[in-house]
Amino acid sequence: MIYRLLFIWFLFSSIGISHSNDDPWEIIDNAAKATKLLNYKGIFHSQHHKEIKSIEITHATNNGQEFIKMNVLDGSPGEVLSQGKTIYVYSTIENNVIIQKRKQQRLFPAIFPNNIDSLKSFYRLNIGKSERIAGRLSQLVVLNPIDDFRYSYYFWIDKKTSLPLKMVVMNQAKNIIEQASFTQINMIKDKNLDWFKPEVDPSKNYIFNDKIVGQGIVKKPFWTIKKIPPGYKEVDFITKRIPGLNILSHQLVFSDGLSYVSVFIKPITRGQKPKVGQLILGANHVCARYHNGYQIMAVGSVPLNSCNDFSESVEF
Amino acid sequence: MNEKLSSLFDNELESHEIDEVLIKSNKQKKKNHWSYYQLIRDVVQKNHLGSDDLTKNIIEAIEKEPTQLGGFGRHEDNNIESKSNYWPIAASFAAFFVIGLTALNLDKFKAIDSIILVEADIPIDLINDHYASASSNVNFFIQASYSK
Repeated sequence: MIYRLLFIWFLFSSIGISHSNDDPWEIIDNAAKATKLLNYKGIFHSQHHKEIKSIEITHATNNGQEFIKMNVLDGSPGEVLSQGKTIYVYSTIENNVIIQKRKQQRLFPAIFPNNIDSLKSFYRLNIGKSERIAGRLSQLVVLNPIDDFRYSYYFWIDKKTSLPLKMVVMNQAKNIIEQASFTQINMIKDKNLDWFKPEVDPSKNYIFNDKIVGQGIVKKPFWTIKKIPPGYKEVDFITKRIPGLNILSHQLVFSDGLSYVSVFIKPITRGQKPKVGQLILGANHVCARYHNGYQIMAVGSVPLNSCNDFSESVEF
Repeated sequence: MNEKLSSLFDNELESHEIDEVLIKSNKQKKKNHWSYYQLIRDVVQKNHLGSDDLTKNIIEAIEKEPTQLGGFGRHEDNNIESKSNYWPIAASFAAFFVIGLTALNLDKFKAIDSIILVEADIPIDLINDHYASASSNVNFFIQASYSK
């Protein structure tokens, strides 16, 4: 009996050692692939600061192309239909449904970048304990930043499918900034895409804007970006003409793969006083600065010093 | 005769003698002596102002000097002190320049008076535009602003 127990102990300890010898980042890599390749349907709660919404998601991959449909189940109806790189957002405002075409975004559970190597340089990966999430056994994986320019990310990865079942973003004071967690999830085998269509309400007016929101107007930016926090790269550039005024407002989006910061560059109009300083607005820091006739504002769920660095980075 | 002339300039002759001396000096062409005695008298009585030629030379020398704003320069040893004398003029000029520029561009100067950021100053469009570009599921369903 004793020899049998020793054998079992030896077997489990061997598994543990072999697991620790693997690249720990493989679990994140597998999770990123699972979000793209698996067909699933579920409901998750998503919280950003004090706002909580329940969202139903259906995801399928057909002939190498992703199809995603998300419905907001709480409050004002909202819907997202995503095919490939294009997303249509249906937001209901009173009797109107505004349909906007947007660029691809990384939304939960598919929040990992295509190449996770960029994360390895600025986050330290720690394996936590196993927990049940949405009735499934999951592995806690923590990405702690190596500096103070970003927050910590906690992921609960499904042990069977590698799909992220829960995510929590925490600041340095261990306060929750954002979280999303499945309450139920099922894998679907049916490859039928009949579900990939919007819920049409005949009593509403549908207003369609086919122009991708914020598609760049200015080809040559007049600014330069200097000394942004390490690991962040410009991932998007949006220019808009301000309605009623013949001026352009610019938005630069920076990301380190998980955190996002927008930097807005907007000219000060006559009679307008520029704003300076910083404040917390919900889960975001907002940092304002005046420079050569322009209002610079950085917005993002990032630490204050990171936000300030971005607002100070614009030079022209 | 020369003694008489000298006495004349020293105010030592009687009135009737003066006429006699003047008449004789004219007849004898004593002009040079007359000038010498005038010069000697002025020097002795400390009334000498210099010759016409000297005055002319001084005026010519002044005209050759360059024009200056704050008076003529002093001795080279006092060079630093003399330069510092121009600062009040420069400062006055700068003050007038700033006041003039402010008066001309008052509206522009008022426009760059910045104020401290408060929550009410942050346009909702700005936050929505950020959410539309960042990966946050809760806020992704909002309507982002777009170019019209």
